[in-house]
Amino acid sequence: MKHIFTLLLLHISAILIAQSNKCILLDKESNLPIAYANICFENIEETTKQYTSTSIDGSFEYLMGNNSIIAISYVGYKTYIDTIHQLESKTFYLIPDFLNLEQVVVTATRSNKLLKDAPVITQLISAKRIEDQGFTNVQEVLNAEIPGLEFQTVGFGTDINMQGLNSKNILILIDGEQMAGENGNNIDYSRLNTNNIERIEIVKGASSALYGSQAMGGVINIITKSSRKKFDIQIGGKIKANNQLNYPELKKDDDDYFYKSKLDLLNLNLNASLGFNINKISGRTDFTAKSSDAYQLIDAYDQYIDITNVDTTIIIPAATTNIDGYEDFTISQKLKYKFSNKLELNANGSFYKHNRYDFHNDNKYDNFNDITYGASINYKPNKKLNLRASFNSDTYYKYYYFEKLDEKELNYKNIFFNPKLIGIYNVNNKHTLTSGAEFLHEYLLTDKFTGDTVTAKSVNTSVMFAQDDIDITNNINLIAGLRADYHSTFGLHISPKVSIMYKYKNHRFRLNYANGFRSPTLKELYMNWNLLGMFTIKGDENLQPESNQYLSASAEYSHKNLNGSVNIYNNWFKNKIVGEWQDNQTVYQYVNVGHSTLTGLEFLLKYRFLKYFNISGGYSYVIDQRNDENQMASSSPHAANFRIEYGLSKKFYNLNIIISSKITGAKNYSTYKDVFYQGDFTKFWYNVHYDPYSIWNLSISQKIYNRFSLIIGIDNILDYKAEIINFNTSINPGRRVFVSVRYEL
Amino acid sequence: MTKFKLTTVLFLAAILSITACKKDEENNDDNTDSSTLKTGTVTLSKSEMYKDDWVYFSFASGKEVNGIDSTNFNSRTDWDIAFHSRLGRTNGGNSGVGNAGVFDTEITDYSSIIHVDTNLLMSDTTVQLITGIGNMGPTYKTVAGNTTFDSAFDVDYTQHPPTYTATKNTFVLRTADGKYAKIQIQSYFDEYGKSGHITFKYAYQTNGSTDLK
Repeated sequence: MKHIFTLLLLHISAILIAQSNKCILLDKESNLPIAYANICFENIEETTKQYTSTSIDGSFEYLMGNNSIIAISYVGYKTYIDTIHQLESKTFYLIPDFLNLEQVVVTATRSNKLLKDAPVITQLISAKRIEDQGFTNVQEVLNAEIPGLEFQTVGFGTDINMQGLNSKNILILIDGEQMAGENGNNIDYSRLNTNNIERIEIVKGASSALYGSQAMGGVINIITKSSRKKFDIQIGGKIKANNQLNYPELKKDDDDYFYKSKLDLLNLNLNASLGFNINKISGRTDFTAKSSDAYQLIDAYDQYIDITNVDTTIIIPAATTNIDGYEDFTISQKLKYKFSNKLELNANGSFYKHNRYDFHNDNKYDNFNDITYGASINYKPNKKLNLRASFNSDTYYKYYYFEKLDEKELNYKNIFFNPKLIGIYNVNNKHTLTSGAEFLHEYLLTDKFTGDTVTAKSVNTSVMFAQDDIDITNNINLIAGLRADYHSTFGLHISPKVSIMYKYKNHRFRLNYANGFRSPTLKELYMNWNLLGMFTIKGDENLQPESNQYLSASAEYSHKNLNGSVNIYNNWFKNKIVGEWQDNQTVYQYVNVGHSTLTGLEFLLKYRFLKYFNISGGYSYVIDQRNDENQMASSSPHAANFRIEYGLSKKFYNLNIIISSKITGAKNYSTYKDVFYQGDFTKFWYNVHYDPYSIWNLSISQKIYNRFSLIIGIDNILDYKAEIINFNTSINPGRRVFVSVRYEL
Repeated sequence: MTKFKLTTVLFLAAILSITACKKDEENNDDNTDSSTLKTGTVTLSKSEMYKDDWVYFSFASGKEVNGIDSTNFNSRTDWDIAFHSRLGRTNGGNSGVGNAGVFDTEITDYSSIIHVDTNLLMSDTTVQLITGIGNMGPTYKTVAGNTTFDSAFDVDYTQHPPTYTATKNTFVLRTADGKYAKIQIQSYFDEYGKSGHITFKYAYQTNGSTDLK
């Protein structure tokens, strides 16, 4: 009798266990289910892992039994780790990580670190932040998130300026890889499409010890999305009011129909993504097509500058600034094959085509193409070692496209070929050693070496680097790194770095020293261009790299809903490569003579209050002490950005109202004009002043059933337009309304 | 026998020539105005910057005329108009021994200009040719030319390089030998986007009347 009863009990309990194996994952604050979260089960003894994810209703089932570890993670939430004691039906909760402190970042150390543990303050911009404001290009994103960052328009295109640093000191990477193709030392920002950005990591300061050339003032690393769900589709579109309709009554039989219609393209962005993640294979395809119309800004008045001591007035007549229009498309593909938990193969490729339309009716326009492909193998033979071998090839082409002939002519080709090998060894959970070797082959074909014919040059760099990451005590972390670059023209350059981080309760104090450098570009090395017999621009094969010493100290406080950090830094630049007039103004020679010091302070804040509101912002103060005479493109000492968001989350409805502002402080600098005075040519110096200004944006974003979202926004609500337009002022065309829709399966 | 053959051949030749002539006349009768109005589109070569060497064009041939330079242009009769960058000259007035003159109708609808009002045609005087760019800015030389062509392009010198936008005004002309034509300057660039290649379409009335239909 007893036996039958026990047997029955066991039987029933077994059925009960089998039935109530289902678990639910909810958001701790809203109690809403979290779909597609990552669940990892690890068997402690055998160190095997199994993965699953929550379904659309937040439910999942146990894959392992007692004495295994369960880890639940999802972007925007703190990771939950626990040991399974009983296989019972349970509700798990994830706490929203509004401050992203537990988000994994890679840029600061080239290895995985939680944001709060990154040795150099890393700024993180998540995909959600990009999507909520309806941003569709990286310039909009960086403008809004980094104080003291401006994209200025100059003759050749767009020039970045971040807290006094120019494009030569900022390294922009996609998934840790360098980009080929430059326009005036700037990469083609149009290649960066927001719909496939997972997150952007920004590390300020010199990082040449990890990334080599150009990482002198900052690294902006754009991490692209991978597919997590079994199958997903995203389709989106954004349309914004035209910047300026140049030819509103254009007729199809107009002689210049092609030229005129291309200046008035729609301000549009269409994108689609397709992803899958089935067993061992996952992949993602992204497609973006976008266009923008060209517009002109006219100075409001002629400028009269009085040089009182010589009783002369210089007149700068009101000029027109042309901002080009464009249309482009990008298609990219990522594939991953997981042989096992230890071995993984990744491959990626992308194609980009961009046409740029300017206000020159000269029967031709610029066409830029880019082809990038790469692959990597990740091998983790055991828990301690992580090896990665990869290569990346990026080729950027520039053509003149002749409209009337339907032909094109190549005038520029730049190739970056970069194989890498990196090994990360976890000595123990307090000590990690990283080491690696790289090779960079850079090739440039251009008509700018000699000015009349297209010629090619190339350089190679061999690299070795090492980094030691030790937790000296529970509170003190020390990272020391060294990188040796051997360049085919200037030889060896060593870049060291040291970072110390001290954790005390909710505070983190960081001290950083690093050396940065920039290899001379192929143009700076090999240029020999005689301009119309007037003067020659000459490079020098013996140029040394520019180098800098960077020192910074920062303090960060994080507690519950508040995160604030302040960073003070000093950046000493030397051997800057500048053009110098020689031989009675007949030769413009590139030499290493410039030096300058950049001192600054950056303050970042994030605060969530009253459950629905969050406020974030930053302030930057920069002292730019340049040794060159003429400070043409300067940054304002004071700059700030600010954002306030109201967020409402219901079961089937999400609302986000965001007001953001970018404040640019006053600019003061001196420049000169050559004036013929009293029989001779003299330089007359005068002061230029630009008033501070701010640009405000509003966006209202609604999401229904977590699938369909609609954003209506107004860019530049206050309709700010600069009175005088040059590379020191804003090229914002004025108030524009946009609508953005997005559907995801 | 030979004499007979010769006569036959001559007779046949005569008939053939008469009928051939008749055919030509018939052709002439059928296409009255269009056959005497010669049209075309031309892209001229580029004149060298800063040098006083112009590119000369003749309507009669529909082509550039070679061998004319600053020493002989004002004694030659085989050219009608000439260009140097955006400057223009006609073979008349101060620029040459011909009877040429030009007038800007300021009308962009090219096909609507069907008549030349000879009273409005302006003769050449002088224009300023840029000979170089020094410390003080551009230096100029005064040469023969027609200022009417100034309105062929809107040039924005504040851009680098300057932007040349053709106004598409229709210009009416008298040629060196007193015939009439109209031109519309389309572009400052050739099909490869190279600057300084004046591209225009023209209609030239070979029968000497002021009718441009």
